Amino acid sequence: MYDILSVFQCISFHLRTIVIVGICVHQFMALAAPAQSPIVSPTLTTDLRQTFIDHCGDCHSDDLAEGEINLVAALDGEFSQQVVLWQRSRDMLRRGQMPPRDADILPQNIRVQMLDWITAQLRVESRRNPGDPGPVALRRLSNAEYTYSIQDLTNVSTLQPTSEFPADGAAGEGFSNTGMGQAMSPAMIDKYFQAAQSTAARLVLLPDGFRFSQYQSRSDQVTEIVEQIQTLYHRYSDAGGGSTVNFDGQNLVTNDGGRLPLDRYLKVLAAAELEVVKGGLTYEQLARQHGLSPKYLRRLADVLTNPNSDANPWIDSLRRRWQSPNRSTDEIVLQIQTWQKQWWKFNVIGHLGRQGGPTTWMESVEPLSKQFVFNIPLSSDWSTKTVQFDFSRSEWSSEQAQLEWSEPKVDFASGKAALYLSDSLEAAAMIRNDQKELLRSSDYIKYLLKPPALRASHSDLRTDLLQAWANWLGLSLSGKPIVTGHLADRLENVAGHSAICGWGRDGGTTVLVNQSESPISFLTLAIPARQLVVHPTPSTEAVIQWQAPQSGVFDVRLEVKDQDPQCGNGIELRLEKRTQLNRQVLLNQTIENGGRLAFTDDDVANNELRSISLEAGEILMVVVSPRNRDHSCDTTQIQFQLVDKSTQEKWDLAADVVDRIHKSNPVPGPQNSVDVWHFCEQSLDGEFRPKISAESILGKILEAASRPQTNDSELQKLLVELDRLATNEQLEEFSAIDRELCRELYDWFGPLNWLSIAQGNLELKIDPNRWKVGDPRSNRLPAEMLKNGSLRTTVNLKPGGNDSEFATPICRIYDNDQRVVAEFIASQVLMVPGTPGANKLSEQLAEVRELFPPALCYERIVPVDEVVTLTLYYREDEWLQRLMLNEAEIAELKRLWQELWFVAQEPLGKAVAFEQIAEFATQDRPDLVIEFRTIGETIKQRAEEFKQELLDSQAEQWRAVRPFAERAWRRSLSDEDELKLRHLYDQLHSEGVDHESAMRLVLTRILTAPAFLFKLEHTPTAVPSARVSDAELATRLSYFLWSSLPDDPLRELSSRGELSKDQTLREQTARMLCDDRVARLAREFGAQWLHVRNFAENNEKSETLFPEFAELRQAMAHEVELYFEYLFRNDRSILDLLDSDYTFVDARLAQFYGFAGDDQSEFHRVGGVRTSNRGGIVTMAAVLANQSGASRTSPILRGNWVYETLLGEKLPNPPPGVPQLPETLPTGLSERELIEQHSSRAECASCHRLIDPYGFALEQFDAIGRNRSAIVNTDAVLDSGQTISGAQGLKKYLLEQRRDDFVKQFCRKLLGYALGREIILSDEMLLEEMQRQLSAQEYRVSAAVEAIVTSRQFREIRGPGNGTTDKGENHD
Amino acid sequence: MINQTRFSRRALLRGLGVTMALPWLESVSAAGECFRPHRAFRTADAPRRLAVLFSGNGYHSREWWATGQGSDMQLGRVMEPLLPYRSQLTFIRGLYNAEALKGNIHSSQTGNLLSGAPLAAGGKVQTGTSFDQLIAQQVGKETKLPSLVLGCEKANPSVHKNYSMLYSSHISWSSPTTPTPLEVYPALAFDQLFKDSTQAGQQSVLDAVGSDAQSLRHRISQQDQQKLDEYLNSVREVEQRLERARNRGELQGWRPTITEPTLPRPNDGYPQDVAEHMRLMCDILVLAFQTDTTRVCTLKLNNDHSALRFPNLGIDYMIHHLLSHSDNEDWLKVNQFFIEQLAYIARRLDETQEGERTALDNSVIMMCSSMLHGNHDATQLPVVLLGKGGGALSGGQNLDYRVQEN
Repeated sequence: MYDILSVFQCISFHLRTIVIVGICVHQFMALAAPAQSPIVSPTLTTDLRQTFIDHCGDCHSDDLAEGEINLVAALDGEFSQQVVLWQRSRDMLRRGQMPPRDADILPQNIRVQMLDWITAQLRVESRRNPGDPGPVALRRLSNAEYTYSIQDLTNVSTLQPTSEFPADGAAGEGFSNTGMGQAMSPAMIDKYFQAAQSTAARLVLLPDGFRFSQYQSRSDQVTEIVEQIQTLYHRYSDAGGGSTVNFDGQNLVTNDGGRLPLDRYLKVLAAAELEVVKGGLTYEQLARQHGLSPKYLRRLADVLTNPNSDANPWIDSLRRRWQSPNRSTDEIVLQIQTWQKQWWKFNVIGHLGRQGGPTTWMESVEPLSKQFVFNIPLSSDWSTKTVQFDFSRSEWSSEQAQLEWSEPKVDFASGKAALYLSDSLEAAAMIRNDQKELLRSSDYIKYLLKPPALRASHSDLRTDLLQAWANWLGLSLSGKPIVTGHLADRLENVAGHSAICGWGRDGGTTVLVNQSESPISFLTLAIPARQLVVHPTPSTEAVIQWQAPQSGVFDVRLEVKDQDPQCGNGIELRLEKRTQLNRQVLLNQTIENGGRLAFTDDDVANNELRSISLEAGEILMVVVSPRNRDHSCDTTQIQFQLVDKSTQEKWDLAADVVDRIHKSNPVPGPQNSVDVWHFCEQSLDGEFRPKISAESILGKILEAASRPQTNDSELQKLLVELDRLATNEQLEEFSAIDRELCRELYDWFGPLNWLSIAQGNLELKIDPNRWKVGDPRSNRLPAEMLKNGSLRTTVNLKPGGNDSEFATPICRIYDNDQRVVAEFIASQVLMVPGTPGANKLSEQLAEVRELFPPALCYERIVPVDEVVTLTLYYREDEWLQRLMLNEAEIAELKRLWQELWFVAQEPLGKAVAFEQIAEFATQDRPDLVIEFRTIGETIKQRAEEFKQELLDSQAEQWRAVRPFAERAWRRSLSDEDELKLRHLYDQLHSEGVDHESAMRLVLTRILTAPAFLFKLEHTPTAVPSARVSDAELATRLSYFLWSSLPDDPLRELSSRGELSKDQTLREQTARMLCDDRVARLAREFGAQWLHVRNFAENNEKSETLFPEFAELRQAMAHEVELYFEYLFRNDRSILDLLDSDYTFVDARLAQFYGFAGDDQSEFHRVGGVRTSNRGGIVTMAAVLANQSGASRTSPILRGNWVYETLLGEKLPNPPPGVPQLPETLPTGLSERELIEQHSSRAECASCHRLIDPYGFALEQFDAIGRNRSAIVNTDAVLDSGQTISGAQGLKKYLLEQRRDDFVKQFCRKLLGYALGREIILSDEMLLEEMQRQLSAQEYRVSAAVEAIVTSRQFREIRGPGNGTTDKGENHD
Repeated sequence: MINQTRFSRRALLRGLGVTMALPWLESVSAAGECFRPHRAFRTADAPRRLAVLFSGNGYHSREWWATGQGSDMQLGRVMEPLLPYRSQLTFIRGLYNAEALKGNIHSSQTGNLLSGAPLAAGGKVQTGTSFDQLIAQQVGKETKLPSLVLGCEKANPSVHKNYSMLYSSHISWSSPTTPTPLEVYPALAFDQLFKDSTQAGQQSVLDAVGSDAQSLRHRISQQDQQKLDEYLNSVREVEQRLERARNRGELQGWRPTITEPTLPRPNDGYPQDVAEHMRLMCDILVLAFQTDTTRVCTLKLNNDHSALRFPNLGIDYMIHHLLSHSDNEDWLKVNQFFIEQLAYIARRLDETQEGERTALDNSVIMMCSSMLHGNHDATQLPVVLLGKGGGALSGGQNLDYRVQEN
């Protein structure tokens, strides 16, 4: 809320005041000396005495003494003994309440006569002992003071120890800091003990003492420190920036956080450069404004603006860009980020410290090398038709360096040959030529569709193109069906059994054999001896294919068995026959879990299997499919035999492959070398054929060809249509599907893969000199040909150059319009190793790294990047310290880390972690045991040392007890005091209580002691009054202004006996009024005076009528506090309280008040509020709402509040038998009219006319203080006959005509608060002096505060020699 | 069977502080005597208990009355909830607090209700020790807690027309200058009953701070010594209580039927719902008697000048104090709601069998207010007693002192 400047202003305000007040107070003190004021009592003439008896004696004499007032006796007695009686008499006379209505009327001149005498007498009385400190009951800390004292003592501002204490009572001038109103009881002792214990539970023991945390548990306290360190880290580093790393199947981010916020620094520098150069701003100021590190900002500025004699090519290039007229900070940042990625790497914390492992989280990578290999991904969506490559070098290269680029080529997806850039133009020309063949597509297809036996020679067809067509159509040149989906990975030693091996992947489709002579069981399954099993997955089927080595008729026997009966849901089995174009399902059966199917008998049902005709190359396949995609426990044994019925040749799956399974996939048959057994998988979602739309011409052709009954003319028509499509003309006559087919036909990377065809026909034509630095760019190459590939080339320094040459190669790609579409810079710097030049480069690179590390610190502190780790807290922040932090910050960081180690008891924690890991490792990672054994001893030893450290620190911790008690008890401790504390500690210790608990109990004892709970003051002996000690004065002062114990400067001054010096006292007062803690004075004095101290908890409004109130009351209460805080901190005029043009609101309150456009969510000062009828306490929502009913306003309550609280008047009790007011308004009556009716009764009117008009003037505000939308009558006639109108009228009236009454009331309340007692008659002169000072100093509040703190009342205490009895000291 | 130590009506009334004919201390100690176990009293007999309930701002002006005696007794509508307990009821009319007539309205009508002592004005706080505390000081050593002082509305920290609002917020005073702090948090009140565990070191800490206070006495003024003595005495009492808690059961000749809480510990914090708050406090009062944790309990249902609202009754447009000025049907509803609390306690105690009698038979529950009705009239006070005080009261009585001198 307050910026630095306003605090400075505040201080200077007060300094100015000190001088003025200093002089005045000095004079005042001289005046106030008792010797200077001779007391002359006005005489009571016989006439006057008789007048009193005539008018009052009937009721107030010995006989009757109504209201226990015996005026006659008082007249004849000592005036000073009856002060209270005379004060009451004066008030009754003055307000016209006596004599009563039914008595004789008192003539005005008589009344004045009587009043004058009483007033004069009282005035004399008030000067009898001016400055008398008065009777101040021993003050216990109020709940608020207790809370603030604990917060200040522990430095933990969140503690609320009294939240469940009984509410304080108020006494004296209406404040809860008055001793009279403060009870003590066993229940309170209980609460104090509990509260002290709860505070002590937050003790944090440190190596050299202790402090407090907001938390009670060690783990929370540790987290708190970690967060504090992180807060310091975050001051100069950014979060995020990490990239996900897959580590053992877990996604971890190890390089997150602690980032160098380079971007912000450069932007701030760029924006403020001119101003700094002109000298209007220093880097320090600039950094402070933007929350940056001055150290780094200055260093960056140096680097970027001052030419460096020892040139560093990288930094030089940055400087050039910085100083360029087209400077772009974004580009600079991008460049540096590129370097950061290339020259650094991040390690997993969990791996640090392992043998041979990394030693730091962020590790530099030396980018110097002889050679660099570019692997540049080329775009898949170039919009340009042609691209050009430029092979060159970056600006941070030596001028003579020449590069040698070897054979740049483009790699494509696996299975396709690479294309040398040097060949690409030629390849493009060839493709255009080859595609002419498309015009006779029908010839190619016709050829492929014929059975091999019927095929003529294809001499007029190109073999490579024929092959391409065959691949696309899923046909083969040979005419045999193509087998796809071969399992490619060999499996060995499955489940630890050396006899089990096969094909497939863990978790994928598998085919396994048991090569041993006995069955092998593992998990829930069994594999019989010398048998084969398969296992599908949820998305793939396991397929065994037998490819006929010869044409013939075959007898087929098949037996299939679920080998895993304990679980799963069975499988589905198919037997299929495949030809070039056809698929025929011979069997399709379900096998229940654990079930078996056999087609081995010669029965009729198996007829079909007994003789199956196959052409050579055609296939029989056994498909095992997971039933309902549930593949669990689907291990299935397959026995499969075939016999050629004419030759009696036999193929037996198990017999053929058990021992030869790893020979290859497919496995050849037993008698010949032709591949026979294929082990494959096929997707459950897959297509039988390659992706050719059945709706397209090509799809229709294939469909037609696969139907045996298709006649040739139908097929022929389709083939002609295909050729017509392939002309790539008049495409609009074709369907969209066919247009897409046409595009595919011509796509260089499409199904026919023209590029591959062209590559097959290219001869290698590489000229190594063709691509080198300095050459013009390469030819324009067709973009279509290169897209999706990746450019690969190796680059070296050209041999024979100078040893000191170095270069960073760059490859740029340009589009049609010569614009760079991509640029790739080598991550390595090429040089000649081992030369002096290389060493220098190394240094220069280190210099760049030093300036721009990617991260400044390991922000996580608690590593989570490994499953188990010995590192509980990891610190790596040297970069932050070196680049960003100043000395103080470095020291703070050091302190925090030391605390963290100590509080977390890290060495002990590490010893535990070590035990756990060692145990874990012996089970799962025996290889690590040896590694751990070496560090185990160190860890144990360190833990033992730490235990000793803990013991050693106990003495230091005890030493901190005494200063703590001195602060809590607000005085210095004697040795005897300390001995008493030690006695408790020793006693507890002897009872077996451990050190930490004993320390806590000693603190509990300190905080439960009377010296903490009471503001004890030494009573002087045998004198009427004496000054309090300096320490006591410090306590009075700090509880007055801060509601809390004295801070270090106050204690320091009082210990030297200097606080009681006038000058020092005034300086300290000024200092304290400028402090944050004055907010407490605002709350405890200001809000309490106005009766809104607990308004935030006000629950008195109807929820039906004012549902919004519950959400507003807190803000309403806060406005009052901020208003008073502002008054004190900025030394404003106390008349601002009556009227000002500002107030304090948050967004919600601003909306409530109707301050248009004010939507700052935080509380802030807002000006120009007079026009909205606000400004000043009278129109604050909290006050208006507090003095209203639950559902309607009460002009009586509001009026009475103005009358009594602001003006210090007092109303008598209402007469008995007052009629009741209705709870709801009778129809047709406003609240005002209702009250007016009530007040018009004679017995009521005498009081109501005094208060109601003020309330009427505030009727524009409803029961929660909101401006009513309708205009209401706010004109009011005061008791004096004067008319005021509305809130502004009332404020004007108070400000101009009741100013003195208000100022006096303010002084009285502030003095009563400061002294903690009621104002007494002898305070009269001080009150007058306060008013005089205020009026002389533009009503600045400091005038009143100064007058109080320098007064005798404030600085002295009564002794037993004081002659005044406590009775009869009521001042009005 | 019938207890020989009769409960003297005069002693009781003087004890209430509603009259001032005798020096009040004398009268109150007489009342305290009644609660002490008589020598002839068998230790196995259940003890007598006293509960004082208070609600501020009086009752409906036309519906607070009783006619007839015993089972013929007719009751005003405010007291309807008490109809089932007429045989246990003593209705008293015509009592007043002479000192309360002297000062202000509200702020000086409550603080001395149970002592009848004058109230100091002018920012001072001084009246008399209330009779519940005097009794507690006499009989309190028999139980873990000398007394339990509960409330359902927080105290009001301000000064009203020259009188501290401490007076409006406290009927129970442990010394003339010390209002007994009210426990308004149900959970903490519950803990007072059942949280027995003495924390390690608590005794030592209390010893130490007690000795601090002792050694400070000579350095400060006489007036301050009084304040410090309140502290010292409080520390001593807590120590004694710890002592008693340790020896619980050995001190009491009589063993209560219930030793464990019969309701769960209430939630922490301050209940937002008035009905729930009052019900919890009533439950805790009953439980305190059932477990013999204390024999004297004061429950202030609200403050005089109370700001409670009653959304639970559908009456949220006006706070209690302003409602008291209205005298309408809603005011009656609110009155009945307060009397229901009394009836609830009576019912719960009546259900608690203690030998041949019930806990209600062994108790006196007094309900009173600061004024008869909303317009501050304290020339008569509303007072009812429930229970037979172990035979000292006969119940079913309708007493009217309006025409009698004292």
